[in-house]
Amino acid sequence: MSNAQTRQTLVIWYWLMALVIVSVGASVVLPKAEALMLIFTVAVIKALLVARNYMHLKHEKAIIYAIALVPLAFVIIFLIGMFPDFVYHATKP
Amino acid sequence: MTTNTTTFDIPTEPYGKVGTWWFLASEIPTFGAILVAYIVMRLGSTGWTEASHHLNFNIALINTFILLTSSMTIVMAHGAAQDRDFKRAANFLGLTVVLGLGFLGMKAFEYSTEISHGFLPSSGMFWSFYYAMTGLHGLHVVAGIIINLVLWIQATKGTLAHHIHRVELAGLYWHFVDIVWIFLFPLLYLA
Repeated sequence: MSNAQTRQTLVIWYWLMALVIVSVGASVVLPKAEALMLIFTVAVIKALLVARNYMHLKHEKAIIYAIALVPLAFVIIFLIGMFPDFVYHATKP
Repeated sequence: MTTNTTTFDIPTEPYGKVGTWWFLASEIPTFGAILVAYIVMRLGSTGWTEASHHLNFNIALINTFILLTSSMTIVMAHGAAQDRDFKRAANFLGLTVVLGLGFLGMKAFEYSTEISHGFLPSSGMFWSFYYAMTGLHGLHVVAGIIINLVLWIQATKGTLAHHIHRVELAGLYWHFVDIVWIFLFPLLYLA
């Protein structure tokens, strides 16, 4: 592992730490709706940082992307399909 | 008479890596289904935000830092193994195991506090989801710790030299567990 790779690994880690603080800060400072938007955007960014850099996805071939993205697409379809049923038919906690 | 034969190098991924990604692909719907169910149920219900206020935010925040840091240490372990510096690899694998155990210890303390306050899986939909999601995630952390522990033993005994790729595969799994927590933390503690 070269010095540059070590430095990049640490830089990604700093970013992840900083983004956690951003999420927590947003939950305290911002109104609920804006905070949730920012918090989940930050969560996606953190996941992408880990997947691309630590899981080396940015260097992987298309087959690996396909293996990872197909089930993810199914989950998103599941979310979109389930969404109206529950959100427009409120249930008890 | 001579014949010319042409051979082609078909680019293939290592079987272990493809297999690990297949396994992770099967995990995505497992966690995805429960996360989607949680999101839609929560959006369609009331009282979940109040229930989530009973969770211990500080412990979850510390656990987030612990798990993100452990992702960094296992990358370092993989780098050291590639450099054939197995002492350094063992140190980083050991640190990853310790961080994983730290995560579980904090989670156990959080569970015990919540249970002592009467918040059980049967205390409502929020609590059912909470224990199911964090419990499933916790089991994956346990599995990751066992895998990393085996690699640590191999690194300290010097037998890891023939299986360096295993550190990468263990890392892929560990990062996946980390990504799941990246979404669990805001869904349970910040939303």
